[in-house]
Amino acid sequence: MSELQIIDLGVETSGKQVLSGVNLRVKSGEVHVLMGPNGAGKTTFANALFGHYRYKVTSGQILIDGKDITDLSTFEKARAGLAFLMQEPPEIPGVTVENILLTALGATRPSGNRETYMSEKVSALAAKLDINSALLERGVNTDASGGEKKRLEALQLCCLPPKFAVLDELDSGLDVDALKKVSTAVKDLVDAKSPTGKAGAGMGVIVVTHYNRVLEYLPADKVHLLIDGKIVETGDASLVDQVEAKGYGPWLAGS
Amino acid sequence: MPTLPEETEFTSDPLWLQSYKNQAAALLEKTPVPTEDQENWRYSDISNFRPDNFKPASKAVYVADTIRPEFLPACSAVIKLNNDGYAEKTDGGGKGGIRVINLAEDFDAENPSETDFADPSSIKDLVRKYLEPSGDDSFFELLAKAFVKTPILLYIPPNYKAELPIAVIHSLHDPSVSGTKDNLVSADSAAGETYFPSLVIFADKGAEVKVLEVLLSDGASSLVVPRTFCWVQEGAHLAYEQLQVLGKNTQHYGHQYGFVRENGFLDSFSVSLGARMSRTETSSVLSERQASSNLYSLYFAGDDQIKDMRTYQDHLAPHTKSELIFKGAVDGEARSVYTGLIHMAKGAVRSEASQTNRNLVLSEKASADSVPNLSIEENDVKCSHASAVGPIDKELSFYLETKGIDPSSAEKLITLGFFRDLLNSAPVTELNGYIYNTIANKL
Repeated sequence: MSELQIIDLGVETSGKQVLSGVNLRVKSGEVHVLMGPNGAGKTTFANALFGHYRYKVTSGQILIDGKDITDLSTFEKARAGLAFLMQEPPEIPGVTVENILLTALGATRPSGNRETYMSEKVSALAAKLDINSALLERGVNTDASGGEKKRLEALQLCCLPPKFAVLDELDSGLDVDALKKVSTAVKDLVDAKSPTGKAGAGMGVIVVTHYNRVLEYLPADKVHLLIDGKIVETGDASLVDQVEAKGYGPWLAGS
Repeated sequence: MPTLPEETEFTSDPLWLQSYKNQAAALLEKTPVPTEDQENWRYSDISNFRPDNFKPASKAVYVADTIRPEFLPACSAVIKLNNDGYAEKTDGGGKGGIRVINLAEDFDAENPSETDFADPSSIKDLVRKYLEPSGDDSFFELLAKAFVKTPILLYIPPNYKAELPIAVIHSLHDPSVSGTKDNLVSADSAAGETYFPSLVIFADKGAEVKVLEVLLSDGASSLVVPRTFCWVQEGAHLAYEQLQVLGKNTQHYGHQYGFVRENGFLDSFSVSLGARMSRTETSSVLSERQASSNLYSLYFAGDDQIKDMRTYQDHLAPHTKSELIFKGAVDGEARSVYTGLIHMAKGAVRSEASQTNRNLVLSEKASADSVPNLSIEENDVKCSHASAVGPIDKELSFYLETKGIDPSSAEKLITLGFFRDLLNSAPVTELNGYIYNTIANKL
C-alpha cells in the first residue's frame, strides 16, 4: 500500500499564479477524478506535478509514502513511482516505444535479458490494446492519430506499471471501442493484487478530465472539482452526476 | 606556394598519367591555398593549413589484423589499400564479375581495351574527367590530381547483380606515430603524412551493385584528400556508401562526384564521423533523361571537430530527379556548415529536386549553419528546399523524462532517433550498429 500526498500545492506559469492550496491524498488502488472547466488549471496541475519547465511550484509539497519528491527532477519523480499520460504526447522521430521502455527499464533493472523480456511484453500488450505493429516500428507517436497515441501511452504504462499515474484527458481522441480497451487496461492495473494475493496493491490514479466519458469504465472513488486553480469541492462519484446535470455554474458562482 | 616533397617511389606512372599529374602540379603552382576570406571557405578552419607541413605517405604498412575492420559486414569482394598502396583484393574469381584496375599500372587511357569494357569510350571519358586537371578545379582537387598514387577503377560489367556489397577500404597509418589509438605520439608532429585515396566506380548498363568505401586512419595529424567518382551507365543502379572514420587529428578534404546517365540511379549515402577538420564536396550530375540520384548524408561532430558539407545537384536533362537529405548533429565546441545548390539547366523540363538539411545543436558552444541555394533556368520544374538548425526540443526530453529516463540518456535517444530514419535507408544497413555505437560513445 502506497500513498501519494499533495499538500497545499501552489503553481505559477508565465508569472501568473494558476494553482493555489491544492490538497490531494491518493492511495494504491484508488481512482481520483480532477474535474473542472477549461482554464481551471487541470493541465497545469498535471505538468507541475512532474516539474515541466514552464511551470514553477511556488508552495507546498508532493510526497510518496512520506518521502518529499517536490524538488526532484522529472525523471527522478518517475523513478519514485509517478507516471504521466500527457494529453498530447509529442512525436519523437526514430525513437520507438521499445527504445523508450528498454532505456527506462535499464535504469531500474540493469541486468537480465531485457530485450527479450520487453519485446514479448510489448507484443502481448499491443495485441491486447489493438495496436498496429507498424506503429511500434516507427518513432513513438509519429504519424499516429490521437487515439493511437493514447494506446501507445497505455501500453507503456502497462509495461512499467508505476505506483501512481496522472492521466490527462485520457479519453481525448478515442472512439468508444478504444476508450473501453484503454480504460480497461488502466483498470486492470488499478485492481492488481499484490504477489501474495492481497487487494489494494494496484496503481493509484488521478484522472484529469473535463468530460465524464472515461468514468464509465473507470469508476471513481473520489471526485474533486477544480475551479479557478482551487479544489472547491470533493465528493464521491455522485458529484460527477451533479456536474453533468447542472454544469459548473453553481461552483463558478461560489468561487 | 605549396612545395610537397618530390615523390620518389612512384615514378613508374604511365606517360598519360604523368602528363596529367604534371599539368595538375603546374596549375597548383598558380592556385593559392584557400583562405577564410574566400566565400566558399569562410566557414572552414583553413587558416592554419600549411601544405608544406605535410609529407608524402610512407610505404604501405601491412598490418594483418586491420585488413578487415571488425565492423565490416559480409561482402562479395574486398579491396584493400594501405596508405594508397595496393595491398589486397578478393574479387571472387572475376569471371564475368567485377574488375579492379589500378589505373597507374594496368590501363591504357588512350585506348581502353574493347575486350575489357563494354563501352570503352565512356571509360575513356570517365578517366579523363576524373584525372585530367582543369582550370575549374579547386586547390584540393589539383593537389589530389598532382599527387594521386593508386587510382583504382572498380568496373562493374553490364547487368552484373550482387546483393552483398563490394568493400573498398583505405587504411591509413603513419608508421612514425606510436601509442594507443586515442593517445598517439608522433615522432615528428610537425609533418603529417598525406594520402590521396582515389576510387572510380563504373556501373555499366543495367548493373545493380552496392559499394561500400571506408576511410579509416590512426589519430596522426595527416592530410587526407580522397576523391571518389561514381559513374552510372544507362539503367544501372549504383548504391554507394562512404564511411569516414578518420583519426581525430586528421584534416580531410574530400570529393564525391556522381554522373548518371539515362534511367540510371545513384543512391549515395555518406557517413562522416571522423577527422578534426572535414570538408566533403558532393555532387551529382544528372546528364540524361530520367537519371536520378539520392544524396543522403549523416554527420556528427563533437569536441572541436568541424564539418563543412557542400553539395551540388545538377539537372541537365528532362525528367531527372534528385533528392538530398543531409542530417547532422554538433556537440561540444564543434561546428558544422551545410551549403547546397540545386541547378536546373535550361531544358531540364519536368525535373524534380529536393534538398533537406537538418541540424541538431547539442551544446551551447556548438554551432551549425545551413545555406541552401537554388539556380533555376527552366520554368517547368519542381524544386524544394528546407533547412533547420536548433537544439533538442525540450518537450521531447520532458516526455522521455516522465518515463524515468535521465536527461543525458534522453538526449542520446533523441539524437540517435534523429539519425535512425535516415540510417534505415542506408545501402549497407549492417553497418548501422557500428555507426550508432560510434555516435553514442561521442555523446
